[in-house]
Amino acid sequence: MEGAEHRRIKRPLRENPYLVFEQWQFPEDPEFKVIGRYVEPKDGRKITGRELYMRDIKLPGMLYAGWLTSPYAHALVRSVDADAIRSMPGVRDVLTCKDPDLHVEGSPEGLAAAGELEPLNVKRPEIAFVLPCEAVFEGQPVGVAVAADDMRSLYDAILAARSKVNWEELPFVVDRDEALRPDAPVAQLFRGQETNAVDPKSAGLLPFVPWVPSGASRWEMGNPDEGFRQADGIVEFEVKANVNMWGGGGVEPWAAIAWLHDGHLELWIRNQVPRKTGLFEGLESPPPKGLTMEVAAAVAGVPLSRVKVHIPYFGTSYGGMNWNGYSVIPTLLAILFSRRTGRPVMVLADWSSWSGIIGEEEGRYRFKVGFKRDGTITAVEVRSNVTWGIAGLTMPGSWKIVESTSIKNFRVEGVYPYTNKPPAACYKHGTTECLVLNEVFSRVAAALGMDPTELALRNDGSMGLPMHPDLDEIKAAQGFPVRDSLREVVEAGKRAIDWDHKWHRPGAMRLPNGNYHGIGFAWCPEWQVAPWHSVSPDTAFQVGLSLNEDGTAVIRGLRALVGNHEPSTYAQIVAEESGLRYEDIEFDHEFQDAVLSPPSGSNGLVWNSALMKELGMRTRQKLLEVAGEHMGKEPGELDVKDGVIYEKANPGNSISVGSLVAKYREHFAGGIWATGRSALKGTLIPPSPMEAHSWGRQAAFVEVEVDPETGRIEVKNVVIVNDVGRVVNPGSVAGQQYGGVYMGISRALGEEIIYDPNTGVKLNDTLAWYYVPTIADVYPVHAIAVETGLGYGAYGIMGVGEDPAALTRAALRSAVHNAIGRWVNEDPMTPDRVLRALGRA
Amino acid sequence: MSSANAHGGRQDSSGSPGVIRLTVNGKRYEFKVGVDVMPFTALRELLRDRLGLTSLKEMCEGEGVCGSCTVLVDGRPTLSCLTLAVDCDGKEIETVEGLAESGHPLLEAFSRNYAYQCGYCTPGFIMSAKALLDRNPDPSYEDIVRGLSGNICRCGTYAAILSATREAADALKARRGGGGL
Ligand code: FES
Ligand code: FES
Repeated sequence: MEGAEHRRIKRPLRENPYLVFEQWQFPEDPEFKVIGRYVEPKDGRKITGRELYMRDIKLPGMLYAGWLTSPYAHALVRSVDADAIRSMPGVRDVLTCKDPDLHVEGSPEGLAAAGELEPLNVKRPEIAFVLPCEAVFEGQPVGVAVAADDMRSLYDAILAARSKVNWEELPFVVDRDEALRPDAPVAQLFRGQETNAVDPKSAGLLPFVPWVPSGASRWEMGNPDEGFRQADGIVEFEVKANVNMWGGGGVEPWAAIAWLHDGHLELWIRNQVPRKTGLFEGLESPPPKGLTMEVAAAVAGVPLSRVKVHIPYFGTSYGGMNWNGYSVIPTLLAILFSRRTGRPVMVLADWSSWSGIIGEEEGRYRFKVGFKRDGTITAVEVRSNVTWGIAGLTMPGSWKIVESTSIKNFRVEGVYPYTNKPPAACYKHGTTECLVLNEVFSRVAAALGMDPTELALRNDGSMGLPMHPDLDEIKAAQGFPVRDSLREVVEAGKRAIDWDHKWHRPGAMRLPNGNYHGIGFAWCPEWQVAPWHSVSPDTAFQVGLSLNEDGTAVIRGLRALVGNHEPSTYAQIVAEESGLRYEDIEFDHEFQDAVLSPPSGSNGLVWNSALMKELGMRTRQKLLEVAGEHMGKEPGELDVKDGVIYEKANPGNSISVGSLVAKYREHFAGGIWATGRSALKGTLIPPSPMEAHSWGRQAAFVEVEVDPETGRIEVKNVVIVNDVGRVVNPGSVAGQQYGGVYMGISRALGEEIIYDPNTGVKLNDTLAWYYVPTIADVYPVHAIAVETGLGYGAYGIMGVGEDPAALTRAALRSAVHNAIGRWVNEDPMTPDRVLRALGRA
Repeated sequence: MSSANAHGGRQDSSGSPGVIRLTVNGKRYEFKVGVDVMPFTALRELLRDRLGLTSLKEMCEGEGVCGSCTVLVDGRPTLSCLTLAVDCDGKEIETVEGLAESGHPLLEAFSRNYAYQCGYCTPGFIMSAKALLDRNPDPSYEDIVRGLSGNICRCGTYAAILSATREAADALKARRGGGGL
């Protein structure tokens, strides 16, 4: 394929000086009628304000509930004057942390029997109780929860509760390195440990990466010592990444509603995994799924048949918040309050308890990298001290860099001490893996004076094997096109940013205005959750379709909609395969009995494309069979197009889908179904997890100016290139690309929760004090979606959601180095840190 | 004859409780102060709770920094979380629901350009954009950046919001009989 010219397609999304979007295909790529083309979005009610989000929901007699949050980094609630709170106007119910109802463990109602809460809240070092008496970070729900008639009474009661609590302040530790010292205060007493060290085994470290054994805190591949011996050069360095805010906490404040009445439980939840899916269940230690309907039923003491779940739209909620035990607190409290009061109860999380949730982990990384003069990297050693989060699942340095390079020798160690900081979730996430990969590559390129795009291409591969010829052969054997994803994204990006003219030696270009000019590059493999998870035979995914007498159709399945225009994307695939019109297809995302792949992990469409394709094909088949009966023809003599079934040899002989359904209702009454297992037959399944290579590559190019007087970094231009496998909905892909770019840039430049070392309290946890980019920070972004068909989903689809944010952050780091010739070893790169790197502060 | 009373709103000469009168999306409403609306009620709460206008979102919990609760009060973009309802007596209020009824080109342009992702910030952006286009029917991209810089979109949809706003300006111009950018 090398040398073939891409077909560049511009979609009718209006360009402006800050946005260019292109799809790049090869002439021989399949042509689709609906897939990959511009369509009107289907979720337009959001624009009119008519689409309901959690706080827009009102139920008859609904109570409003909330909690006290800890003003201290570490404290015990010794006692609470609950009667004083109970007697306040409008207060209906008060729970204190002493109440057995509130404890997940050992609750008489059998919360522990729900089973799944165990790995969720106890084994993993997160929060063990719904409302504990010990607060282990500032902002944690603690001590008292209140249900009241209205929001005002609730806020008054919570405010009053602050003075009705008898606190005991405890020693705290917020610094990760300090936490490991033998004399450090014990950060989380309830765990019964004498130190802050986390034993990954007892904490249930997951075998998220198949080559890392479960519970390991150290892992090696090949022979790292030999790799360092063979090296012509070695670089050793340290990088510190600080915590940023989990994005969802900052947009739509968290809430949950439960209504337990007459033995029925109705829930409104903000959870990406509303039902058990079977995903990951083949693993020895499956990750937590948050509060699924199954768990809620057990907590409420009702059979599953009496649980109904609603998933209103989410205000910015990308990423796996549901993986974090903390995320179940509002729903569990709502169920408990509803059980006690008999009323629907909305639990409203207040800002301080959610804004502290960590988006990307805090980490200290120590690197040692060996390399040859020609750029071959011979050994990598990464030792990290990181917040438990997604990092706790993988050990930074053991996943993406292994998955996407030919490097043969690794030594990786990870520690995750408890501190008095909040837990982490993931959110368009990438620090621990994307940052690690790109720090290794950027530092080696700088040490060799080598073009970093060349260095990437030289080491591209997977699990120690080079891309050419070894992996090309495996690609072909597994049925994938033998395309070179990294080369394609690099070439597209270099051309778009004019790399060959602009790249220079670090610190070598001073502009007439006195600023330094810099240009940087970063790359990573696709960010879908590792493909071996995509092909678990245990998945319970299912989707249905019903056809109506007016020719319209409804796709039915349970799916949290997070903002990637999922209803449009699904309808496009079903329309493509079935012959129905896109405009005629809607998506009912609250259908209880069929569950789609959840959005977390950029993996949603990998699975759901396969399901939708199968559903569309089955729909077409059904229409042809019934119409064949009606017209006295064989199905093979007929076709479906634009909602009309016709005889191929005589197109005038036709019947519309609506008329057919009206005439033969009984044939369509049961709906049309597709399941995960059947859909899988249409995708390329690697023979085993160890042969499930990651083929797709992503790249970011960033151009900056750095003012040496002020340390200010100005982003001049960004090119983001994603191999998405296949574009289904260009509007959705473009949005995920440039949206992620803004997130990545703001993380690199300023997003950081600052803790006062003297009190352990957050100093900037409101939107007034925490840096979030506005439209005034808009940068020119050129987004290119390359279509290689190298993903594991139907049509070769792969995920795009996470990469742009993770990559842009990494590319910006290397652009700043290219500008000033020094590394800024602490992220985000605030002006004071840039000046320090320049030796000016 | 009426005069402002201690609770805001107006009291008529008979001494009956004060009322405030608002025109919301072209319809007139009257609320009794102390009964329908408290002196401390924010405009946002009144419009959501009494009129069911769910387009008024809230990110920052009334800190005045996110813009997702933006409405137009007498044509000016206003943070409804920080505005007392009683201070709006006699004023005209517009929300996205009103624009949807009248078929304003901004809605079509936001949809066509995929200028929303999760959609939570979108009604606030549209109202800020409406205020901008009302006072500057032919804004440059820099004007749009300035006009919309009080709103936050955590999904980072800014680039498409620029396109959508400019496209709506062109559509309005075409309606008036002019050309586009
Ligand atoms: S809710 Fe944020 S400005 Fe009004
Ligand atoms: S579209 Fe999600 S916050 Fe703007």
